[in-house]
Amino acid sequence: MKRIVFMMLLLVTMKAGLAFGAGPASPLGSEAWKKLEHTVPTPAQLDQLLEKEIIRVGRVTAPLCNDADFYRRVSLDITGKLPTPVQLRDFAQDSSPDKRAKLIDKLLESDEYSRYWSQYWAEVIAAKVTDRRGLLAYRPFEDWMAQQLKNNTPWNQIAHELITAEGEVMPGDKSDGRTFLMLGHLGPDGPVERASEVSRIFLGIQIQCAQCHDHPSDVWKREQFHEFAAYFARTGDRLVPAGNMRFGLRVHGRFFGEHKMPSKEDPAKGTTMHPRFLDGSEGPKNASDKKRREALVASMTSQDNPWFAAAYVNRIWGKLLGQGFYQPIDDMGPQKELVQQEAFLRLVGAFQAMKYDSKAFLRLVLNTKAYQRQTRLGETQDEHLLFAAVYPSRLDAEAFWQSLNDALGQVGGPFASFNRLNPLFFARSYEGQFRNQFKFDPSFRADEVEGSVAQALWMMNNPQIEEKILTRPGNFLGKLLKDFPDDSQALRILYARVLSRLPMAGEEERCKAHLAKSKNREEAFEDILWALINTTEFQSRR
Amino acid sequence: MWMHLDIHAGGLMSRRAFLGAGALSMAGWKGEVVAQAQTLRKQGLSCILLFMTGGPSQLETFDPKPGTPTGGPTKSIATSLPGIQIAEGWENTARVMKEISIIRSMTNNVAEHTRAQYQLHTGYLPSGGVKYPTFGSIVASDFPAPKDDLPSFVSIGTPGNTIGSGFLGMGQAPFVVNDASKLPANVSKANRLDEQRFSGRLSLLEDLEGQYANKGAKARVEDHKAIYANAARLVRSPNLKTFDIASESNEMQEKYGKTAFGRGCLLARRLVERGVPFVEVESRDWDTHFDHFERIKPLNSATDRGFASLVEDLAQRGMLEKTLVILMGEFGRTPIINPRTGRDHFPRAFSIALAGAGIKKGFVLGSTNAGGTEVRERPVSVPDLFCTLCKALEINPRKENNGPLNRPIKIVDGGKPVDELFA
Repeated sequence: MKRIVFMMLLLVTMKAGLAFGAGPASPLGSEAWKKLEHTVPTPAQLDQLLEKEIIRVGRVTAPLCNDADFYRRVSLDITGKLPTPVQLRDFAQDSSPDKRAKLIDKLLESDEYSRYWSQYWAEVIAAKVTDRRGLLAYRPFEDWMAQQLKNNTPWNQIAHELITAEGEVMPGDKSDGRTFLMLGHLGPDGPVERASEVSRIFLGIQIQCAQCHDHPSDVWKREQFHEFAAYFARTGDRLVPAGNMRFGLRVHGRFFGEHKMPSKEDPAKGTTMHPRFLDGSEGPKNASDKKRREALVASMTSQDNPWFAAAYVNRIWGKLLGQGFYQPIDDMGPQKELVQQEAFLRLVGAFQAMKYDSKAFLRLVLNTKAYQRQTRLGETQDEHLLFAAVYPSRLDAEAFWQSLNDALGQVGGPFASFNRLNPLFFARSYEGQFRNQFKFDPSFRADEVEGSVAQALWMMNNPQIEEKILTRPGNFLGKLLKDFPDDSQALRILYARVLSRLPMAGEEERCKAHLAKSKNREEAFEDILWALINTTEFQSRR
Repeated sequence: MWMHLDIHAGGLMSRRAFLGAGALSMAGWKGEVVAQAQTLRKQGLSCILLFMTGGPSQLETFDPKPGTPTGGPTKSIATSLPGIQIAEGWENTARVMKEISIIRSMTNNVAEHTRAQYQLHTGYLPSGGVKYPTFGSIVASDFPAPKDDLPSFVSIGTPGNTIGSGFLGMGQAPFVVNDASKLPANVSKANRLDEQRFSGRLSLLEDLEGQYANKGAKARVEDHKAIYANAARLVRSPNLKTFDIASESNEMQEKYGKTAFGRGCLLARRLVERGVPFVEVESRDWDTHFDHFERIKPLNSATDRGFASLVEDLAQRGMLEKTLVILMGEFGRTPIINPRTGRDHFPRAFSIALAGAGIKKGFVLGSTNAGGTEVRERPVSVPDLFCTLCKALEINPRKENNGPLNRPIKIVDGGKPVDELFA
């Protein structure tokens, strides 16, 4: 049955392709893509473009969110942390008209920004790692990436470092975190997997769909995939002994070797492929590994290739607004569905004009009205909102872990994050287990991220969490109940701390009803705190 | 509503909506009949996968070569099946040999742990583009859920080590039990809350969800509530006692062996008895690159005892006809003994054991050459094995699940079931 539906959709999609008259003549996009405007728009200009399209299709924009919602959202999105009740109060009392812009600047300069986003990028890579040994480079990558984000290294330079990386990761030792992307894929399939990931992450193109046959829903030919893989034909990896039966990993250039496209009839045979970029321009033949990878980065990050900027724009916008211009955020292409094309191309040109400055780009997006609108869903969870509202997406495991610690104090005891550097030990720490339980692929569509019973059980019953909920002298609830004998006041502070807002009248009433029938005030507040951290809202962007 | 969206419906539809569309058309009477037939057909079928992580040696399990240069000091022992010998250390399995089948001609070419473990769990090699589901998730998605609030797929002794449900989604993810001697993590009410307070918390949560639902996230709140309802049902379920192996007699616990693996096997039997369709139990530390012959002794002993007792117990309870038991690792070990008296990774020729669910009783398939370096007859590939498992569990191996980017992905790509293995 599903099969039939699929075939029908395939037919519909194919027809659409014909109707659009899209041909492979210009594989990197239509005429509009060639006339990118290389200037940086103001947030207001961008909003105008977006609203024009929203009005054209007969939609209504959501109102701007209030200050508390804004602070919580931007704080979680940029630093992965909750604002404190004091920060929320001061922000509400600040009457300067540019206070939101100032807050955005402040958060972008914080250490938490580089820490949180380094975790994000580590998860982007880790989600598709095909050889777990490569995870040895996970923590070193986080450290390296955090430093780049702190220095605001331009995105093209970060791409260059990751794609041309040579070096080692050693267990527990000083390691070169730049090798993570290359070392996530080892052995004979290395060239093919590395090519797929480089294309997916930095160009937003899932060219690996053309590995075995021409791409079923885009212009890419099978040869093009293998020509792309040929850039990595001489990228080698090997185990490096580290003593005590332990091993590290090394990525390096080999002196010979060519990539072969397997014959369809006999996979043991194949045709030698030479590097050629997606736009048809030839890469270096018979060249060293270094030359090949350098050439690939040069072609990718050239201003003539809009997909490099487009992939970043779509990913970042998708994370911040909850939906991308292309969905999922890493599946773009000349014949893929694109919404709000005019605004998108304006952003792509802008990111090029910014010379791939990540913070400048974030600042532009965060200052738009589009980002600052209220959340809502369409009629179905997967309906595209066209940026008339912000999508209420689920927090990633990193932001959720941090929020939980912000709300409850340090969960899991002083050794919750023991041995961060070694991924094998980290996996056994409380934080490691928590993040493993709650993680999802950050490139998934927000509407496809699902929760699980095991997650719900963890939040409901985990003894380490319950330990932080119980009222103890000196802990959060202990102090709250001692300092604020008035229930309404205590409730307001509890809500501000956990949900970054004040309780609505109905909520206060419901909590007071619970207080009235509870054995004592401590137990009642423990139950309320338990309920608040278990809400959908606590686990989501608002 | 908008032309371009309608035309491109395929591109804009999510997996969720896609499956939903399928479900809607299934709601017709014809669909119901199909669904019922499937339930009837699968009634009582289940599968227990005993996975020996690290790669067990075929020469010290089911394909000993005593007296040859590659055989090492390992002797062979007679089994209840005349003429068939297996390695010493597997005396209990030798006793139940007439209940099981051995494949001595498994062959593959992946010699690295993580890739081979992935392949022997999913049937596919890892690929960046597609997260293939582990076999337990495939079975869980294809079988009716157990009636008693219990999960469809339980994985025992595999903390943080499961391949996971891949593109089938969290609904089919393994429910992990770290230690079979304790209740699963987080199923008991925290701090031994009494039922009154637990209900009080749940009802408070239910009411406090309203605000976010009203702020435009209603559907997300409903999903969240549904998951919490399932979790709360499990917490309160009288069937949680299924996880308590201490309620078995001491004699029974001794029979399976008071080891992590033995307890896992006993728990697997209890779960399958209550209708859980898939249980995986891990036996660890088979990666014996040095001191191989000493290190495998306790591994052999615990695994032999757990496996044989499970098969025997299932047979005595009349459950073996409906329960497929698989004993395997990700590859075998080199016939050549290395200078550190170890054996290294060897996917070219290795052995596995199967029992129950229509698998022949007392049968050996295939063979290797005198040194154990090559398969001599009836090679069985990984896709062949997965087709065989599907056949035993009455799953269509060519059934297509909806993968990422709406790409249809067969449960098994290629391969043929090994028909000789079926009675």
